[in-house]
Order: sequence, then C-alpha cells, then structure tokens
Amino acid sequence: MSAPDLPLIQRLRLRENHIFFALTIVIGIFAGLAAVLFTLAIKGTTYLLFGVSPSILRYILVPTGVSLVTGFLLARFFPEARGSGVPQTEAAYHIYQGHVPARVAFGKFLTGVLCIGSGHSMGREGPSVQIGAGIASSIGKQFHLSSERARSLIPVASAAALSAAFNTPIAAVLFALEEIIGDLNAALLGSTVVASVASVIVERSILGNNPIFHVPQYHLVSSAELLAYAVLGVVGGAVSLAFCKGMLWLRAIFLRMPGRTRIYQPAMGGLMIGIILIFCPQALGVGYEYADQALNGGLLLRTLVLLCTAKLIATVISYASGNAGGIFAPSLYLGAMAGGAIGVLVHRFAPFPTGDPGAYALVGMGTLFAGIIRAPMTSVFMIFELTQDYQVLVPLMIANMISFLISTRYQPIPLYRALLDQDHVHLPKVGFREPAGTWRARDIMTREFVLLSPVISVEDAARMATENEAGSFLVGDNGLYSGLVTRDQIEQALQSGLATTPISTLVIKDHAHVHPDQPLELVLERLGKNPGILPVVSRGEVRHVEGVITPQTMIQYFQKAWNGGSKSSTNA
Amino acid sequence: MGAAIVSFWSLHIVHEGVTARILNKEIFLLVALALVAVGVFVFTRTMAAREQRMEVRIGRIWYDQGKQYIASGKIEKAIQAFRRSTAGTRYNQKYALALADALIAGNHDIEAHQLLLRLREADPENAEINIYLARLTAKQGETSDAVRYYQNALYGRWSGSQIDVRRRQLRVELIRFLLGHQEGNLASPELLILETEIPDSAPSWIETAKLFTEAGDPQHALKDYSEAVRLDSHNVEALTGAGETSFQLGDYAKATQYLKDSLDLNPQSEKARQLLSLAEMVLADDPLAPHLTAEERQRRVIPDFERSLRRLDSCLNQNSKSGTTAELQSLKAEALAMEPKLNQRKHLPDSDMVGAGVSLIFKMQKAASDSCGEPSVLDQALILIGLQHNGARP
Repeated sequence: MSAPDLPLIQRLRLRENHIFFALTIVIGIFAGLAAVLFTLAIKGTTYLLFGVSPSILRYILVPTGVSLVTGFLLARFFPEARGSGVPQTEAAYHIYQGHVPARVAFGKFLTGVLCIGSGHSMGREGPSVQIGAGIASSIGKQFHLSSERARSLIPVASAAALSAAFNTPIAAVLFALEEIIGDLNAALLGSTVVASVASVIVERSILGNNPIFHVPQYHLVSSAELLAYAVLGVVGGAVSLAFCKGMLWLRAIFLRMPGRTRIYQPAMGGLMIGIILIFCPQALGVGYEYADQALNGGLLLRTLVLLCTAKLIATVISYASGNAGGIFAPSLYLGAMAGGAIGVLVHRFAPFPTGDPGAYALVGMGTLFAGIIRAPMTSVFMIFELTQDYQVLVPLMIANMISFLISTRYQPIPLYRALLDQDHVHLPKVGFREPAGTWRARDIMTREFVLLSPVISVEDAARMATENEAGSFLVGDNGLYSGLVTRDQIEQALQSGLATTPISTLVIKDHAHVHPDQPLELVLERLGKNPGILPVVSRGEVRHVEGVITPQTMIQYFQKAWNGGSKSSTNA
Repeated sequence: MGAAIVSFWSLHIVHEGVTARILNKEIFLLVALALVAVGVFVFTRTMAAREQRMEVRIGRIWYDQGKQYIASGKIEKAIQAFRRSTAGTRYNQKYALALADALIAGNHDIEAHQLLLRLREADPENAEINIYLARLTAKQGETSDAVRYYQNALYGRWSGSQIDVRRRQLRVELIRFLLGHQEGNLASPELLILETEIPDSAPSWIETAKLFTEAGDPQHALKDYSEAVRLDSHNVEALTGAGETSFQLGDYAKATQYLKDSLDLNPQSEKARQLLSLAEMVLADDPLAPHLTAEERQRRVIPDFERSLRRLDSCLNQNSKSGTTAELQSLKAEALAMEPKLNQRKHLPDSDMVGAGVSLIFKMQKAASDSCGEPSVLDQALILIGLQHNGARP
C-alpha cells in the first residue's frame, strides 16, 4: 500500500515521523551552533574582563562587579537560568511536557557567559544543555507536534548540546538517556544519536577535531594497581560527597536568606570567588587547562591537593550563590586533581610497579563524575571516548562503582534532584511511567478546598472551620501552602486560651503529599498517614496545591466509579 | 527518503484544504531554519576565527614572556608562561617545544615526556620532536628508547638550515651516548655511516677518528687521522692523533714520523715527546727489525737481554723474603742457560735464536713489571718489542 492510499490519520502520523526526523537534524545543528557560540563567548568574555595577566584588583572587581549585573538579570528577568541547566531541563522533560521558554534559553546564554566569563568556577556543559533544550522547544512549537513528540525534543537537544560542548558524542547520547530521560532503554536512542552526530559535525567543522584534553596513553602496569584504583574510588566517593553535601548546605543557607537579598547573592559569591582567585587563579572559570596538566603529570602533589580543595570551595560558592553555570566541568576538574594526587602517592609509595599519575587523574575524572552527577555509564563512556583505549575500562569501572556506591549510600538523592527539591520541584522517580488505565490522584482530587492564611488567629480559623465539614485545613499564603492544621488542633487551642494566637503556630509541616500523576495505591497509603486531608501538589512547585483528597472525596469518587464503571473500562 | 517526499507531496495534492496549508508552512519553516542555520554557522565560524586570532596573540605574548624568563634563569616562571602560550594554541609546535625544553630544564620529566609523546603522535617523523624525546629518554636512562628516538630523528624529516651538519652532529651525539653506555657494537655501524658523511675538513675527520678510538677501532681511527693530516698537514691534533694511533697499532716508524711532525709544530707536548722517545727506542733496539744483518741482530739483542736479566735479578733481590720468586727464579735459570748461546762469537745466533731471546726478554720484563712496579722507558720499549713479535697486544 503506497502512502497516498493510507487512511488520513496514518498519513498524518507518518508526516509527523518525517518532520520529527528532520527536526532532530535541525535541532542537532542549532544546539551544536549554540554550544560552540557559548564556548566562544565565554572565552572572549574572560579575555575581555581579565586580559592576559590580571592584577589582584581585577580578580576581586571582575567577579563581584559582573555578578551584580547577572544578579539583577537573574532575579528580575531570568530566574530559571540560575544554576546548571540540567535539572531544569530534566524538569522540562518530566513535568512541563518539554516546554522551555525561548526567554530562558536567551537568559541562560547571556548570564552563563557573564558568570563563567567573569571567573565563577562553573562549567559550560549544563548551560549548553538548557540552551539547546530552549532552542528545541521553540522550534518544536512552530511545528505543532504532539505533546509526546514535543517532549522528546528535549533529550534530543540535550545530547546535541553536550556533544558539541564536550566533544564526546557517544557519552552525550548516554547522558541524555541516563540523566535527562532516566532510562537507558529509551526509544529515543536513534533520534539522540542523529542529533548528537549532527551537532558534533557542526562543532568540528568550526573548531576542528581537537579533543578537550590531551590524554596520555594509558597503561595498567600491574594487576595490583587495581587495588590502588579501588582506593581512588573510595577517595572519589568521599570528595563527591563533600562536594554534594557542601553544595546543598550552602545553597540552603542562601535560599533561607530574605527574598530581597536574592539580587545580591551572586555578587556575594563573586566577592568570595575573587578572594579565592587571588590565592589560586587556577580555580578560574571552566579550568580544563589545569585538568589537562594533571592528566599529563604536570602538577606536584601539594598543587593537586590545593587545586582540588580550592576548586571544590569555589564551585560550591559560585553555584550556591545563584550564578548561572554547571557542575559538569568542575566535577571533572576535581576528579583530575583528586586522581592525580592519589596517583602521585601510589607512584611514590606503592610496593608494586605503577603507571604514571596522569592515568589516575584520568580515572579520577570519571570517578568524580560518577559520584557527583550519578551517571556511571556516561562517565565510563566519556573517559573511553577521551582515551579510545579499552585498557582503561576495568580500573575505571572499579573506581566508578565504588565512588557511585559511597555517594549513593550517604547522599541517597542525586545532586541534580536534590537541587530541584530545594527549588520545590519534585521529579518523578527514575523509571516512573504514568500508569495507564488506573485511577490517579488527579482523577480523585477535588479542587475545592480552604487555604487558611497563616496570620489569622485561632479564633478566626475556628469560625471558618465551622463553615466547613473538613477535618483538616491547608495553611498558606499567595496560593502556596506551607502546612496543614486539624480541626482538633484548633479546638484544643481555643480551649487552652490561645484564641488570638496566629494559626501558623499550630501548622504541621511534616506531612505527606501526592502529585497528580500518582496512582490510587499511593494515594490511599499516604492519606492513611495524614490527618484527614492529602494535598495534591504540582511537581513543578510542590507548594502549589492543585487539589486535595479527603476520605469524603474518596467515597464520592468510588461511588461515581461504581456507577460509571472502572477507569480502565471507561478509558477503553 | 523518496517515499517520504512522495508522502509529503501526495498529501499536499490529495488534501488541498487545511492540511495542505500546514504542510506548506512546515516545509517553509524547515527551509527557513536551514537558511538561518547557514547564517548562524557562518557567523559562528567568523567568531571562531576571531577567537583563534586572539588565542594566537595571547600565545605569542606568553611565549615571549617565557623566553625572557628563560633568559633570566627563571625556569618555573618560564614553564608557567609557556604553558599559557600553548593553552589556546596547542598545535603550535614551536611553543610546545619551548615548553618541553623548559620542562626538561626544570626536571618536570614526566610532563615533558607526555607532551613530547603527544607532539610525536601528531607528527611522528618530525626530527626535532624525536631529538627532544631522545635526549629526555637518554636522561632517564632508557637506552633502547633513546636509541630508537635518535634513529627516528636521524631518518626523520628535518627543517631549517644546515640540515646535513645538524644531522651529523646528532649522529655524533648518538655515538657518544652509545659509547657512554658501553654499547660499542651499536656505535660501530653508526660510526661507519658517520664516516661517509664527513665533510672535507680536518676537524670533522679528527672528531670521527677520536670516536673510532673510543669505540676500540684504531685502524679506522688512523685512517681518519691520516685523512685529517692530508687535508691539513699542520694540524697538531691530527698529527698527534695519527702518531698515537700508529703507536697503538705497533707501526712505530709511522708513529715516529707523525709525532716528530707534531712536535715540530708543538714542541711543548710532553706526551708526544714521550711517545716519540719510546717509539724511537723500539725502532733502535728491536733485534728482529727487517733488513738487519746477523751481527746487528746480535749487537741489539745482547744489551737488551742483559738489561732484562739485571732487572730480573734486582727484582729477585727485592722479593727474596716474600716467597713469590719461583717464577722469577725459573726465568733467571732459563735466561742464564740462553745467555751463552746469544753471546757466541763464532756462530752468530740465527733469527730463531734471536726470536727466542726476544721472547725471553719480554717474559723477564713482564714478570719484573708485575712483581716490582712500573718499567722504565727503555724497559717499556723492550716490552713493546716483545709484544710486537709475539703478536700480542697489551
């Protein structure tokens, strides 16, 4: 049967397949171009701001002054452009049906260039991913694709952007599958490969086929060295943990500061970075040239340790203070330094023959990447692509797995997810697929609920409670809830003579919630834990209540379903 | 792809309503995006070229700075400067080699090695890179790697001026390295190749001759010294070298001639004078020298014999209490038995008898030297005569 003979709906579907295929190439090209331009702009800005040999004053003034500008831009115009860009891209894929506003991509480009170019210790890969996703979303919108297709453009663009930014096309594909989609078996493998290849062709035709690192030839000198690599895995895991915990701790402090300071926070970070740069200029910006030196055994032990420490602190400060830039490059930098340091020690003290410290720096890069980013497969393939040497795989996998396990054990939530959690965004669990044919929270919830202001008194709350049958009430302001309070609590407070006390003093903050896409089983389980009310909150802003589920709404829904048939039968 | 195009256009033809308009828009959008992509590509390339020019400019600034640091002996600062010069211009071999040079000077051998290997990977036939690697591995004591890099450099691609001279100098460096590591068997073929590349200048021949001497090949050394003398008969070094080598080879007549010429030009040379004296004694006292009459042989052998016997006697007296005189006693007995045969006036000793006498003189002198210390010049001459005729060489 030829195409014209097919029914219209099939032909439309065929048409969308063709358009999607064409778009993967187009997006690959645009994401690649954007990543290359981003890289060039950062280099140009760094040169413009710091010159060839910057003075101490410039080290202080540039990051602080530029961060004042970026702080204003990020607070007023591009709040979504803070940070890496990878978590935001994941949220766009999992929560916002692949929607990334063009404004965000533009803002990320602008603020990313300014932040990284002004010396903040951050990477360019994460922002490239978000910029690519923004471009893909904007292009996809013009073609009126189905929501699933539009969403699929996000990992496609991510792979393309990373491929151009880091010049490792295979690792970029794996990163898109492993990190963005969270599923290595994803059906988008073909599209991501096409986009990644298109992107890397563009990148190489502009910048040439120059690897980011000059990687020395790898040798496993003796099998006893595998023990040394296991030690490297332990150290890598510890450094990863220090990085993740430090980042989340400092970021939480910045987030707790009053909202009006948000505009100045990047400049506060900039000032601290300036001070670090005076003592350790090697912590400036992306820093791949110093990682390259570690790979080639060009740094002394004390320099390696100093750079590892300084970079860790600098990256934590830059990121936590709300600047725009990623952690991909810093994690590789830290890995090279930590690995190099272990390599020097092993080379000096091991009772068996060992390879050059550069080999340890190389494995260290993958180890820290696995520990911080939590994408072990990507890390293995990334190092393999850099070395093009199978010999590196066994030590790399040993060190990676140990680092990954330590990091997972003591920091169960991966860093990107934990950062989203701090922003009140809850991604679905890895591998979660919205169940078809079953009841979900959004089918059961009611959108009619009372949101008590936290400033009203217990007495006012009691009056409102008498007008409502519910056993518990949500408390919150400006449409964002902060906790809940039960009817019993209100009555007890009244009896205790606390009638004029603000209701916020009674709020229960430690309670369960569900998201609209979660299934009935989970709803029942969590409703049982809560005192009579279960908030159904948005994944994109967990303080935003889309509806509530109470025992009454459950009964009503069951009755309705009983009368109308099961969900699966209605769907069918 | 053909099916896709067919499906696109067939849809357009069959449905001329809304769908057809959407299709037109999509194709138009794709074409427009392609055009925009071309424009952005050109812009990005322009930016990349500009950035590359900037990197080159920065690289040059740091390179010049590095050279200044090198000139003022600040190696570590020079390394930092050269590193920065190569950061944006990794494939600038000049900068990279300057960095390698500084790294070697600063004893950052591992990094220098990695850097040079990387450069070599990109350009394996580059002589300069191979030379750096050869010197570095030689410094690290990796003889086989050093020899490999030296040979790669010798047969690699050279650039610049005076290539033949530089190549020859490198071969000399390799030979010196091999001789320094007791690899004479590897040095010999290199020396033979070097001999074919020597320009017509006495110093070059002298240099090669010296290397042959170090390699234990005096025949080739003499040949090269002779060639140097031919090119410059007033070259003292060549004359002395030729004289010494001739002496070493036992050609005392030629040695005498060269050493005399050398002393004429440089009378202060004590070594040449001593060698000449020794050579002249050998020539004057050798009883087995050609074209001598029987009387003349006897006239030479008797004083040599008696002198040797006296030395043996003296040595025996010195060692009478040590109990190690058995060999000396036996030699004395043998000598006393031979002495009358050599001294016969009626029947002059034939050449075999003179030869036996020379052999015994050698044994006595040797034994006395072993037991009683350094021989005098004349005793040395007698030993040399004995060596020459026994076919032995010291």
